[in-house]
Formats: sequence, C-alpha cells, structure tokens
Amino acid sequence: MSELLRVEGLVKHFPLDRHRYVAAVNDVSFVIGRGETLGLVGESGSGKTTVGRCILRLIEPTAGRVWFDGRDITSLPDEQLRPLRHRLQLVFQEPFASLNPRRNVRQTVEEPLLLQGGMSARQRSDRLRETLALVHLGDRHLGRYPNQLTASEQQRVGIARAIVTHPDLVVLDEPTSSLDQTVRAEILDVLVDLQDRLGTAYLFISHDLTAVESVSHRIAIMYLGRIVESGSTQQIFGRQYHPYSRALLSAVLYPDPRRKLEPFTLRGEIPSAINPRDECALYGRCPIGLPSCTESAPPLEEVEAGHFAACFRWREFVSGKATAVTPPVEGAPHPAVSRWAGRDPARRPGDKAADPEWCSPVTKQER
Amino acid sequence: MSQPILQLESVTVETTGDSRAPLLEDVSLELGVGDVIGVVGEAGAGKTVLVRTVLRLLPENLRLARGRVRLKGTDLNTLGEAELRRLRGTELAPILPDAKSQLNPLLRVGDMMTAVLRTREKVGGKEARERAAALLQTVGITDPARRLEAYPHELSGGMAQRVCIALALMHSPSVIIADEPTAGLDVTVQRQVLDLMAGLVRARDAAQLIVTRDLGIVAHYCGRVAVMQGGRIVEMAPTIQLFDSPQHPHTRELLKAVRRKGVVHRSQPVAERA
Amino acid sequence: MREIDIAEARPRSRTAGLAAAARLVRGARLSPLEVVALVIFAVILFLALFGPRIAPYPTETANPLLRLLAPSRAHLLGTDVNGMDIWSRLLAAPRTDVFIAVVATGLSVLVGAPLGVIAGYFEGNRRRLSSLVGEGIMRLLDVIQAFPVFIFAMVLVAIRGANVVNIVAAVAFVNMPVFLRLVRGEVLQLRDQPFAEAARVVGNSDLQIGFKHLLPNALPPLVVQISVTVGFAILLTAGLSFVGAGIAPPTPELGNMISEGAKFMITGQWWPSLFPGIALGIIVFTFGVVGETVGRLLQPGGRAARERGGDLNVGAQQAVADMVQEKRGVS
Repeated sequence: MSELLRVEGLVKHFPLDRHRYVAAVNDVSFVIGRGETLGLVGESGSGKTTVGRCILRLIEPTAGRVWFDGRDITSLPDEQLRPLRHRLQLVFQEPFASLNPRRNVRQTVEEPLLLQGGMSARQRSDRLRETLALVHLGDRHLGRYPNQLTASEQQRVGIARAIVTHPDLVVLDEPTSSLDQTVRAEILDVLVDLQDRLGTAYLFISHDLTAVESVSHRIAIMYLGRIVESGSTQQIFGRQYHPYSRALLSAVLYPDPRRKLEPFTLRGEIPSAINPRDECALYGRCPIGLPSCTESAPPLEEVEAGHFAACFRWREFVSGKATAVTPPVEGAPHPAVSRWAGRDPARRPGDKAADPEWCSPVTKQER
Repeated sequence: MSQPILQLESVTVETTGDSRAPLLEDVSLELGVGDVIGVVGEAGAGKTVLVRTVLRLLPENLRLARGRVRLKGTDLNTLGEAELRRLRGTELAPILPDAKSQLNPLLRVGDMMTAVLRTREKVGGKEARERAAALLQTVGITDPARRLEAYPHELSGGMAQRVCIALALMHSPSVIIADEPTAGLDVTVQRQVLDLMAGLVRARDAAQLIVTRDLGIVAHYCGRVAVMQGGRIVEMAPTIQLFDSPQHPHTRELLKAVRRKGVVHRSQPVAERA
Repeated sequence: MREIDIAEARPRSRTAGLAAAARLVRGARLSPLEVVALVIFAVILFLALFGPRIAPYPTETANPLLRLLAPSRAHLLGTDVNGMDIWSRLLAAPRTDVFIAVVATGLSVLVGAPLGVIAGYFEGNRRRLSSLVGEGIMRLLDVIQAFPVFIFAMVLVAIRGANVVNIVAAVAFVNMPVFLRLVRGEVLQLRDQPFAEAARVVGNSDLQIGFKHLLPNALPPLVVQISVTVGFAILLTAGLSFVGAGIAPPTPELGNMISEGAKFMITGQWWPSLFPGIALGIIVFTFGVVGETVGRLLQPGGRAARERGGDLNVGAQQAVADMVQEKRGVS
C-alpha cells in the first residue's frame, strides 16, 4: 500500500508541575495509506485526540516523528508547515464552535483556497460550489452565518472547509458525537462518499464504535495513551486479542434488541494518566491480570497477519484459558496498591466488584 | 396490571406569551410496577420538556396547558410546592445528565447524603452515615467510607453519576426518571451505570422512564418504547415489536439511520481499488 | 431575523421609511430608555455637525451690555459673563467636545486594538520572541497606567501647549490602554476556541488568525467600550478646559463654560455653569447607553439567546429553541 502518513514513537506529556506530568500519549506508532480510513478508538482520557493534534502540529509532540507523504513534518518551522496545511486537514467535534461566528459559509469555505493561492476567482468559485454540492449544501447557504444553520449543516460546512482543497488526509476528531442519530448517519454517508470520489485518507478519531465500524478500513484501539490492539475492521470486530478491546466491544449497545448483551468484564474506570509506571496500563481492571504484568508495558505483538495486540497473555486469553484467573487476593496487595491508595481505592486490584446482582444486565425474559 | 404508578393523560405544554407554541401535544404514558419505558427522539422532539413536566420543573416561559400527571393516582398539579419537593425526593427520583454539575461543589458526598436523610427521616448522624455508606456500596462504589469524604470535583464522571443515582434512590422511589443518564459517559461506564439502574428497578419493584436519543440503550434496557417527534408521541410499542416492524415513518427513519451499512464490506482503501 | 429587519429597513419612501424604522425598533426590542438615548444621541451628532449654524446668537462675540442676564424669553438659558447667549453656546459646544473626543478615541482604538491583538495572541506563545513581545507590551502598559489619567493628560498639555492637536493626542494617549487591555482579554479567551484552531489548520499565520478571525469577534465589547470611552473623553476634554489646560474661551466648549460660570455660583448666578454641566452629564450618559445597545445588537444570535431565558439548563434551552423554531417553520 502506498503510505501517506507514518507516525513513529509519538509521545506527548503535559507537565503539571516540576515533578508531575500527564502522559497523554505514550509511544504510539501507526501508518495510514492513501485513501484509507484508520479508526482511532478509545474512551476519554485515552489520548486519541492528542494524537490527532500532534499530527496536525496544533500541539508539539514531546518525542517521536511524524512523516507526511515521505516528509518529516515533526519539526518543520511554521513557515514551511503552512504551505502543507491544505493537504492535511481537520474536522472538529463541535460543529458550531469550530466555525467563526462572524464569517458566512462562503468566507469560511473559500478561505483555505485563498490561503493556498494559485487559483483564479472563477476557479475558486467553481470549486466552492462543487464542494458544497458534495456535502449537499447549495447556493442559498453561501450567505448564511453559523447561527443560521442547523447542526447538520454546520458540520457539513466544517467538512466542506476541510475538503475544499482536496487534501490527502483529513483528521476527523469525533465528527459525529455531538449530533443526533439521523444527522450522524447523514454525515457518515457524506464522509464515505467523499472518500470514494476524492480518495482522501481519514484518521477517524471517535469513541463511537458503531460509527468507527461503519467507516474504517483498519482500527486502532487506545487505552491510557497506548495502542493496545490494531488490525483490520473485520479482524478487530471478529476476534479481540486484548481484554480491553473485548470489554470495549462488549459494552457497545447495538440498536438491536435481539442481539444478546455480553457480560461486561472490566472493573472500575480508566485511571489517571499522571506519572504512569512502566507496566500494563490495564492491570488492576483486567480480568486476567497477573502480578508479572506489572514488570513492564507489554509490546504490540503480531497475533495474526496485520493484527497486533499488546497483552502478555493474549495466547491464553484467546484460547479462553486465561479467563479463570482470579484477581490478586485481597490482603496481599501488589506493589502498585500503595500508589493507588492516595487516589482511588475503587481501582485497587484487590477489590471485589459490588454485589453482582446489581451488575448483571436485564435479560429478555425478564422484561 | 395493577394500578399504574405514573400516568400522563393527554399532557399539553405551551409557551407562555403571545406565541403559544405547543412543545408537548397530547402526550399520554403509563408506567406500572417493573415497567421500563424508553422515550426516544432527536433534539427538539420534546423529551426534556416531558421530563420537566413530570417533575413539575418547567421554566417560567412554559406552562402545562392541558392534561394531568398522576403519581399513584394523585394529580401532581394539585400539590403545593412543599408537598412536591417531598415527592421529588422520595417517590419520584430524577437522574439528570451531567451529574457533576448537579452536585454542590462545596459539600462532601457524605454531607450531601446524610443531610437528606437527617432532614427527611430525622435519623441520627451516625445512622445516617451508615445508611449513606451502604447506599454507595449498592451503586457499585467500592470503599464507600472514603467516598463519603470526597468532594464532587474529586469524582470521575461515572462516579458522580453513581452518587447521583444513590441520592435518587435514597428513599426507595417508585419511579426513576432518567434523562440521558449516560450522556457524556464512556461506553464502558455507560454499561455499568445502565446495568446498575436496571438491577435496582427490578429489585425494588420500581418503574423507570429512560429518556434518550440513543436507540442502543432503548433496545437493551427498555420493555416498551415511545418515539417522540415535534412534541408528540408518534409511536409506542413493545421494544422488539418496534424494532421489528416500525409503523411510523419517523421511527423508520431513526432505525434506518442507526442501521446504515458502511464501508465494512468494502475492505480495500480507495487508492488500492483504483 | 434581525438581519432581515435591517435589510428591510432601507427606506424607499418616507412612510415606508418610518414603518421600517418602527419595525427595526420592534425587531431590536429596544427598551424605552434605549430609544430615548438613541434620540439624544442623534441630536448630539446633529449638533456636532450643525450646532453653530442653528445657534440664534453669535457664539464667540462678547457683548458687555448683556452680562450675566438671567434666563428669559430672549435668552432661554441666560447669558454668561461676557454677555454671550448660553443656549447658543450650548448648541455650538458639542462640535468642539465631541470632535476632540471622537478623534482621540478613534486614535486610541487604532493603536490600542492591534497592540491588544498582538499582546493577547502572543502571550505564552510557543515561540520565545513572540511571547516576549506580548509580555513587553503589557509591562509598558502597566507603566502608562500607573500615572493618574487626568494629571498625566494635564502634564502632556502643559509641556506641549494647549492646542487641539495636543489635546487630542493627550486624550488618545491616556485612553489607549483601555482598548489594549479589552482586546487582549477578548483575544485571550477567543484564541482557545475551536474556530481559532480551525483557522490555523487551514493555513493562517499567527497574525492572520489574530486580525482576521479573532479581532472581528471582539467587536461587540469593543463597540461598547468605544462609546463609553467617547463619553469619558468628552468629560476629560471638558475637565482639561476646566482647569485651564484645554480649549480656551471664547471657543464654545462645555469645560470652559462651566469653569467660567463657576465663580458666579456664589453670587447667585447659577445658570452660566449649571446648564453646560447638565449637558455634559447627559452626553456622557447617552454615549454609555448607546454603546451598550449597539454592542448587544452586534452579538451574533445574542438577541435570540436572551429571549429563551428561563431556568432550563443549556441543553434544554437549545432543545426548546429548536422546537420553537420548528413550530414556526423556520429551517
């Protein structure tokens, strides 16, 4: 596949004070091919948005490299980066807030072309109309301001602004999560349709797994700043090699009452990312965690062709042998407990989940 | 079924002033013991107004024009403000979105919970504390004794939502009104919160109204579903029936939107196929 | 909907114009106070342009025979110590005061606003040099603002001489920090908005983002401040004249009129300074109210947002607004 974007060993730490920092992204690497969509999935705090921002150089990565079309853009000065901007675009989560309230649709969508330069007024106006047509907007929208548009129209203007220069890559940062279901479907259709016509590659950042499933060729799942599993959409949705991925997928509520809910296996919530230790980040929530999992962070291993997972115990996990492992016994806390003690005992490894009766989902018969 | 717990009889809510735009029109609903009804609709369908009407928390510029809201047979509109406040804490338990903003940032979780118990049930400080801790345990918060000392800003979103649920459940309410109870929560936390509420409803012979725009929640956690559009209930049916054979065009539209087929089946990137 | 109102308000004939104006007033939901202020504002502007021409008596010619006459039918507000008609001079005075204040304020905005954009946008910038520029501007400002405004202006005029140019310069100089701080504050807040980031992504440079995207959004509070400042600049101009560091008589000017009349207060001739004083108060007040009104109308969607009101949370407010729109059949 012809490679468009390569991210290698990306790290982003936000310092809090002299001794503490938030490790938003830890050693993330991936590749996006031309015309391909990579879905980057994770819960809040997983660092997925930070990855997108580092790629666009909206924030400066702490370490790691980003190559765009064969060129290292990690440390390009602003003056040299700006001419590349029209090939590398972003669509925001909040459609309204990402539009300048004082600029109408024409001004907003035409601006990237003006900045790119080299087009006559005639060409610009043609491209503008053509682009708006692609996102199902018409001439009557040209003079409107953001507060005169519906949420769907606002987001389509945001998309039009991103694709008007026919970029090679668009980072979609939760483009549908603030929208209604019907609008969401509309926007996803527009995005897929655009990719077919223009061959744009997408980095689709989202926590919405059903949306990611429907637009991505490949998926990478992030947890606490690291990619824990990646593979093609079929691979990821077919069989998960990492306990976190399985839990995440089992938590998806498909709008189909006949589809049985799988039991949910993770305890507690995502811990804080302040000064993390070099260990498996899921330890403490993981149903199959062993004390040896705290010795270092598990590397991504190729578990099938093109399918990677970062779990020491993936072999036992997929074969089903590892599910029986009990969590560390209470009273014999693992060394990390003292670290948790000051923060959040709910995440302490030794805790039993609350009364299981409260935690079981309703089954069909009981309705 | 025995007498319904919550009953809405052709409720109509209008804006006050000249325009008189109806925001809810002729809405009727019945919740019996153990019922979990889902109300779905898009932004502007009238879901929030419905919740506010049931809780009698309509803003100044809206008013109940016609219809009745009955709780165990009592017309809520005939009740005074004090009576109503008592009901909202006990019989009717609201669980609203964005739990964190509902909690008083200056009070510890424990103070909030014990204050309610002590004023409403006149129990002593020690007993109130024990009961509060037990309640936190019930909503899946481990080490409740420590949590009681926490301030709201020290809680995560999921934890705050659980505290809100605990507060709502304090008096074994007969109806839980959950307005987008998991909005803003991560999927894994969402599952935990929904499972928790479902379990509690079953265990306590309560009833629940889940108002949401997420058809996934409705599909798995509700027995019946009401679809709202433009302030009206346009379709109401048992969940499986609604998903299997939607009757109203808007229901079909909503279902079509969540059942869209994407590129999953188009396995190769565009550049490869070209 | 406001935009439509304004578009429709372009008068075609006189009656249509009046009807359109009425619609505009209704559309903008002006309070009675705001309507009064707008009318007075129009009068002030009219006087600034034509005041000296409509004055019934000469405004700069002394007439010793008519000294200090009490208000009468011939001289509505009486005459001053030089025998000049106070009503005539009041009509003529706004030209001097408003002119100086408007030009001076314009000057402070022209200097202050751009510096404010730079100071705000570059504060804490990742590039060290830019960040230093932002810091430097703010520290300089602290130094300027450390002086008492009035005394500072007095000293400036005393050193440079009391002519119109110097007074304008002095008033502009002391007001400049107001605009700088205001714009900086707005920009600081706006630069974290997603649309500012969007502007960067499409390839705008730092300065382009600041001036093309952020500054226009700082406009409503800026307009309010301009108007308030013009009011205070008038006060400052009058004040300088009052202490003798401004416009000297016989040029009709509120400050020197008050100052000249002040010494006769004790001897019972209250009219030479009272009427200019009242005029000054009304002018300053009017500019304040008009600024607020215009700032409110400039806010995109601001009017609609206030209309919703109530104690619903934001999400619910949005939902209600959406529904109301839907019902009205507005897309």
